Amino acid sequence: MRPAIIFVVVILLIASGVYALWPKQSDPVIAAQVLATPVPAEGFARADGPRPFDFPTDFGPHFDFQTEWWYYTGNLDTADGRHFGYEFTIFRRGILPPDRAGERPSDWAAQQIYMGHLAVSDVDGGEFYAHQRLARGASGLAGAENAPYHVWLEDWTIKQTNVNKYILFATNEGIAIELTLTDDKGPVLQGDGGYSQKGPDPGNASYYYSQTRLQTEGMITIDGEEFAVSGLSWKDHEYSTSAMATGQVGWDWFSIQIDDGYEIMLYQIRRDDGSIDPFSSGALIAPDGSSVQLAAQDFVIESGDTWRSPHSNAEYPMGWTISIPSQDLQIELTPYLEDQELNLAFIYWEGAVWMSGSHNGIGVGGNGYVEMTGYAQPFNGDF
Amino acid sequence: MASFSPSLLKVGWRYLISHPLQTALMLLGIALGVSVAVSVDVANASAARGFELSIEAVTGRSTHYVSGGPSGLAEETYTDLRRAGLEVPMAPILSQMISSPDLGDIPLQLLGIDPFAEEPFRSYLYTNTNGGSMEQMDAFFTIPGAILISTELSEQYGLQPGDAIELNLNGRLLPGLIAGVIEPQDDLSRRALQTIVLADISTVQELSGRLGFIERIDLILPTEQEAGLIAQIEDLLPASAVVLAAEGRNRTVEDLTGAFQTNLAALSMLGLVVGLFLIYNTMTFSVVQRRQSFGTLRALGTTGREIFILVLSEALLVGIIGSLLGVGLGIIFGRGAVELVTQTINDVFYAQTVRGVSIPPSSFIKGALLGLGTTLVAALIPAWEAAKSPPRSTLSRSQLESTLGKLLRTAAILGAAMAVVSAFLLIRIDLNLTASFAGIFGVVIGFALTTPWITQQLMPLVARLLAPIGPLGRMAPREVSNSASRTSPAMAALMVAVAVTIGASLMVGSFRASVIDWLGVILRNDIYVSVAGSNLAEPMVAIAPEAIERINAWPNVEAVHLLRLVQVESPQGPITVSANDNPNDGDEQVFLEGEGTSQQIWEAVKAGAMIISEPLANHLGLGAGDEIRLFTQQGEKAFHIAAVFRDYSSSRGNVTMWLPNYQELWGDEAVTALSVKAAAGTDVDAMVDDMRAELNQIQFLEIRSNLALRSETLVIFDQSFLITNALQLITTAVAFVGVLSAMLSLQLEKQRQMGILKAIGLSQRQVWALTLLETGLIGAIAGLLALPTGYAVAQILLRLINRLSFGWTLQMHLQPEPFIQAMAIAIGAALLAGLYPAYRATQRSAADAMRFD
Repeated sequence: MRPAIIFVVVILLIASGVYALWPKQSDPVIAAQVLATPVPAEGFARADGPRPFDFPTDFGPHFDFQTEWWYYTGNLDTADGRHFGYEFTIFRRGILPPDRAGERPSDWAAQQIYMGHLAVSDVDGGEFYAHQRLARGASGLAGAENAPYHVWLEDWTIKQTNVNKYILFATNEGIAIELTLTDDKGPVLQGDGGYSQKGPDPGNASYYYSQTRLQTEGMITIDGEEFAVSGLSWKDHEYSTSAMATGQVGWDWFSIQIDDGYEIMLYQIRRDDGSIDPFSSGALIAPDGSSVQLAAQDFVIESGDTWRSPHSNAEYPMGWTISIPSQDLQIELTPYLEDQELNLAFIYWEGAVWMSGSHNGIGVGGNGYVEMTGYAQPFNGDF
Repeated sequence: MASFSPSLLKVGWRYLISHPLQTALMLLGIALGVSVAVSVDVANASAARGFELSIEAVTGRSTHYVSGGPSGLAEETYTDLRRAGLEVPMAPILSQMISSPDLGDIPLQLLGIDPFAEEPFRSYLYTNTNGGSMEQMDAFFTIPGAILISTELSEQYGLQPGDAIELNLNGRLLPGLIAGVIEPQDDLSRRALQTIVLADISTVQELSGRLGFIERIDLILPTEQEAGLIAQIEDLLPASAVVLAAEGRNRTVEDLTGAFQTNLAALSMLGLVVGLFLIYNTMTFSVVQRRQSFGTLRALGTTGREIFILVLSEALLVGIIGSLLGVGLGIIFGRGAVELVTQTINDVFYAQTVRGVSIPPSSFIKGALLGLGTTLVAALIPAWEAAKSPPRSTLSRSQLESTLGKLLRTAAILGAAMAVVSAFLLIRIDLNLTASFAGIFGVVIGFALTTPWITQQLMPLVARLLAPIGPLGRMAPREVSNSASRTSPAMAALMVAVAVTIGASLMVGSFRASVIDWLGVILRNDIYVSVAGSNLAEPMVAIAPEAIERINAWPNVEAVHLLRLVQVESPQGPITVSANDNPNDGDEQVFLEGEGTSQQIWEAVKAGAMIISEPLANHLGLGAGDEIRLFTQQGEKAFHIAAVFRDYSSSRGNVTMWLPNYQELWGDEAVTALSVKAAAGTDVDAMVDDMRAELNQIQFLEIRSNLALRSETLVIFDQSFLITNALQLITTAVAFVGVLSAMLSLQLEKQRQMGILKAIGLSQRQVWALTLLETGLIGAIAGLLALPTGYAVAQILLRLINRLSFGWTLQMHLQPEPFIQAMAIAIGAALLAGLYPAYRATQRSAADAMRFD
């Protein structure tokens, strides 16, 4: 019977070979190649000069401008000293200018897109968590209001509850923040009375104010485990239509809360030739809420080290020395964790740092947040 | 058996190439048999994959969905769920069937989505979550009528992003715009997107006029928390909404198309069964012819086992080549069959499937192994026969035929037993579909096995009948009887093929007659209106209220009856509800069982009961007096079933209820079809033309007269049996090859005898007559025996297979045509197969022929 068996074996071998080599079905992935029609920015107002601010109204949305964000960061500790950093931001982007509101009958027809980022740095756990949500500003899915100030994206919420009290709530996949923020210092207008110029064209600017010292209490949840925390938060609120100018590739932004009651805000805009843009600037906020504006030439930021992200392969500066001679300020910033990169719709590093240094000749400490954009990809677009 | 000399294989090889015609016919038989099996497998696999793809494209990875019934869900429901902080992926959907004159007028599903919610569900629709610019989505969100189409559609119809197109929604043309092109990453998604276009949910709300509503919310619920999450979600839902498992949505359709495919697969197997007889026939003949040389080999020391292997190796060689040819042919046939199968599934089951050919490697392997296995099985007996050859002894054929006589009787007894047992099982036991088909095979093969013996018993009788036409009339039957070893398998094969042809034709004919009778009862009005492009049997697209008003006010309209056909949710999955306001509908139904007279039944329906169609009653195991539960706008509700009615419009089945009751319970005023009773003496055709001219300005409507509707229904009916006919034809072709091969073998063997007959004065004409008489007799006997077999097959198909496959029972309508046709095919095929052998017989001179051997 041998030949017969050989025949059968040969056939089976051929058959299994054919089967093994046959192209397997892969998961369907469809790349959306969507028509890119940049929304005519013409319909939107531009930040083209100082204008008066009116709080609490200006806490809320400014739909005349295309881009807006409410940015909260903070350094919080448990009673026994476990340190957490958090970032909770809701971005708004107008996709139709306000004069075209109400053209379409559907409640779902969107004029605004909202994006939320929630990041928590669990320093002792050595973990960094980042989540993103997107929703249209329609049908109640996401939105922003003033009086009272309220911004939400599904169940993620920023809401004013009292004259100087705000609650933040966001949760995703076992990570949550539920915080109450109290502002004893009041808003600080950045730049020229809140007009923050980012480029030579008067329109390359944003309106920008901060709440730099928000007493914070509440709960942080990591993988379902709750931690009662307290500390300081910082809020930035900016709105603009075309902030970045050509040639600018990204920025490094610093918010530092010094334990002597001062805060520093600094940003330097990097240009595509590697130089620092002259429109970089900053401010030093005194305990009484008054502030001193800092121009690009007033401060020096140096970074000794770098860190390469294993996720995006981007190389970030890591660890900074900042000196502001005119204010007799010399500080060192060290990140609590190196890996605080948000690899979401866009990629940026936003992380908790601690500081040490001297101010007016006295040794000081504190915490802060550093944001670095444009290292993984050019950053001149969306928000 | 330590050594099998390879030189023996040469003996086999030489035999095969020195008998090229026989070898070729054997190869053809195997190849045809395998090709039918492969092509049906390819067609079935393609249809199944197409169906799966279209489901996958629409359902995505959702495990459950929130349904709000026919009128949809209020859009706030989604917002409420989203803002409730449930950590559950959810995506709102609002879909709509559309077509576009700019996209070939093919039916497309316009899937309204929220791109931000889509990723966990149908992530392949977008890749720009990472690094993508938000601006790219702006057009999709903000331009009214903006849709996305696949690259394939865009290339096929030459459409670019930014091009304006017209969209036909429910028979109205609306402006649309190609906002972008989706680039599928592989062939499968490319096919999935052949029938889907995408739009933002706001766009679909606006195009379809369903402002404020969504169709459903897809959910992904982890299995371990499923129950808890469903309870949590249902707490947040209005009473009209319900959480359902996604798989239920498609199960029914899958069951039905599965049954249809089993039917095709069974039919395709017949080709192989017929091929089995053919191979057996040819192998037997080759063995018989070589008894002398086998004897010589034995005398030279070759063992019986080696001879056995020799014959089997020949079969294997033929089997391999034939199977490979068959697989190749099968792919070619399969490509054609895919179109037919998909079309039928779309027409009959109204399942949206993606077209395209999937050729699963398993089809080849199955086909090849089937062909090889069949060949080897068919060769076993001849090989065993050959192995028994005693050394150097010449067995005359007469000796063989006499031993064969006993074999034929044994086969007949076995066959009869097989047929009886199979029939008994089919009648007595509730078998499933596959087992029932096995039963049919049992009956058919059983009958086939009795064929040779019955033929032998009949031949003396035939000889007496044909005696009046002279010596040839006596010779031919004797020859048929004497050469049973050659002819009986071919005859059995022909019988099987013809019997199946009779069975299938009788079934289709009876089915057709049943449908015509039924249409006569249910179609009592003059004009029927539905939306153009909607399914003929199941129109579910709403007619514009203005059109209905216009028809109501039309001159000479005596009555207008409205119908709402709709799918509603039930604990058993979606169920089609047919709600009408025809006060006499009770008289326009055929009730199979019911509580009281047709008037009483319809009164009960008006009071809130339902009647249920036969297929649905069979699927759900329900009857008159039972209850059926459905999810209404007011929650789950039980309905009394007053009767079961006959319905051939949908094998999915439906429940029929009183329209006002439906409207109250589901809050849905849509009308999807209507019928018009014209005043006596009205020219209906003129009325139809007038209505078409005027109403089409409101909405594209199909307006058909009673007669037109009937004939269109029958056209679709006939179309759905095209594939069945094609398969039957191939089976008959295989049988024809079998008869041809048998006749050739016979001719070859009888050359010497023919030579003697010619030497003693048989004329050329008499040679023709003798040969054709013989083959004609074979055909006639096969045909005759096929008549009762075919009748039995038809009965099983009608009573059992149809009920199991589609849920309906059919009445046998006996017609003479299938029987006459079958006889004609049997005799015609046999005569045709005799032509060439007869021609060859006349070509040889007597002396030449006698010198043979």
